[in-house]
Amino acid sequence: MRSEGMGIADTEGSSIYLYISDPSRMKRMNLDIVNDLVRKNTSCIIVTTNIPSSILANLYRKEGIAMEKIHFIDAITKYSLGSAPADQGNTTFTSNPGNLTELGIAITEALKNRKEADTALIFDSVSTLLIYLSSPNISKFIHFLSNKIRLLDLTGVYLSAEKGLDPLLLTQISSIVDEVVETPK
Amino acid sequence: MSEGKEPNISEFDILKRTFDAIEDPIFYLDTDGVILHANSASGRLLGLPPEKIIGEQCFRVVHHTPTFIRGCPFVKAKQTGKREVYTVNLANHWYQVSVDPVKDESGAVIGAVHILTNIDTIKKVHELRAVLGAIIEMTPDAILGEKPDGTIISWNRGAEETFGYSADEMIGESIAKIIPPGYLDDWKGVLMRVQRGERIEQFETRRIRKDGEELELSLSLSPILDERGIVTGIAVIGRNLTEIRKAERALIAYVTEAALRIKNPVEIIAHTLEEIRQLHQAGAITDEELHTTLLIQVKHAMKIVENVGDLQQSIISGFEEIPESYRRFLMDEE
Repeated sequence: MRSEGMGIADTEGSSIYLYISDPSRMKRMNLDIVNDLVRKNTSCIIVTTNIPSSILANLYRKEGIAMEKIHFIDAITKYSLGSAPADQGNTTFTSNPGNLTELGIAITEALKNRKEADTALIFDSVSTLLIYLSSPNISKFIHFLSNKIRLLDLTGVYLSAEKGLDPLLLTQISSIVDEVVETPK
Repeated sequence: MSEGKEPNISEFDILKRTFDAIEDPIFYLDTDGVILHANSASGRLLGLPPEKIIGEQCFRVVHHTPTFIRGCPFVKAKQTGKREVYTVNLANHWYQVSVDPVKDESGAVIGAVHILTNIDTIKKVHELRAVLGAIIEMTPDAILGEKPDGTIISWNRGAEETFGYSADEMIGESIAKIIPPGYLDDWKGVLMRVQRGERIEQFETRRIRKDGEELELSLSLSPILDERGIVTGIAVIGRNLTEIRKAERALIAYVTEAALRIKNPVEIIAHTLEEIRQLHQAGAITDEELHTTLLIQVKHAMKIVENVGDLQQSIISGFEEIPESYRRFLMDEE
């Protein structure tokens, strides 16, 4: 485990990270990681289970992030509003954050349709997903995603709130990822 | 004794003095129970000088009855011609009385020697042993005795209930019979320490019941030492912790689950709401986006309430000990 330092985009080949942050810094952590990756010409597929993709898109634009490098998989907006916004490009909406089959299909499709070889999958966040799913199911899903990321030689980033994972799940995810990064408060 | 310095004491006197020096009361009776000889200890026992005892019938001075008492060993000895032994309480002391019939040349009983041995200490030890035995039998803890090599020599009712084996099934067996294979090395280490005279307090380990269930126990082992300090056995007290440990693990699981299902998600909601408030105040998000985010957080909160309900249900179904009033409260019943 290390504290945040070296950027994700500096690494070569497939790498998977678990970023742990204080809940108050979750949004900032997302913006910093995506900014870092896009600046180094990496496309990002953002899976969001807490902040609506429309708001994230606004925040990215304000940060100067090139939006053509971004694709969202939004698992929360349609669930909360009952329908997906019609006018939002580069976004796949799923109906329920607890439906891992639908989420898995959406991620698989997005990875298949990626335009650039240098792509990262950012999952924001594992701790929010725990509101909807049990730890064993999340552990299996992280396994599934990580296998996919490694097969396609991509970069994967799982975000989680500090103390948002039970010790067993944290151990399981830590054994899957290449590095656990704790961001300073 | 050196030659020429023999005191002027007859053999009879020597025997008489020896007779009086013995601390156990001794009587010699004829067949009618008349005391013909009694030593000084007899006088002390009855509170009379020996000369007042001699010539009296034994039952009159000893039991204060007009005839032989029921089950009198002397009466029996006259019939059987053999030694008879019984215990009697006299003047608040316990005695073992051995009655040895004296026979003439034809083999007919002509009297009997009565020797009374004070057995107060033995009696107290027996009483204490009986009390301890009752405690050992009544306790729910498993209490067993082992030889230094682990062969079982005693197995109380608590051990029967804890391990499912009867005393008959276990006495003579090695304790290794109930030790899981993975714990045999631990046991050998503990056994060696006790064999060296070490006492081991509350050592937690596992054992296997007859039905195959693995138990978690706290064991205390004490060496049993003989008068020379040599270890002749091992006393083992075992307390079954299986249910307690299960409950502790369940409690940890519930507390962890409660933290995950309540505290941490609520913290995420609180921080998201605060961030959104700041973004809206700064004009960074529209009213519609604020509305969407609020709806998401409401959905999160509703899901958390549902999760807490599930957690309550699992607590209720997992613990029968929860009082009915609390059970109704947790189940949201009137």
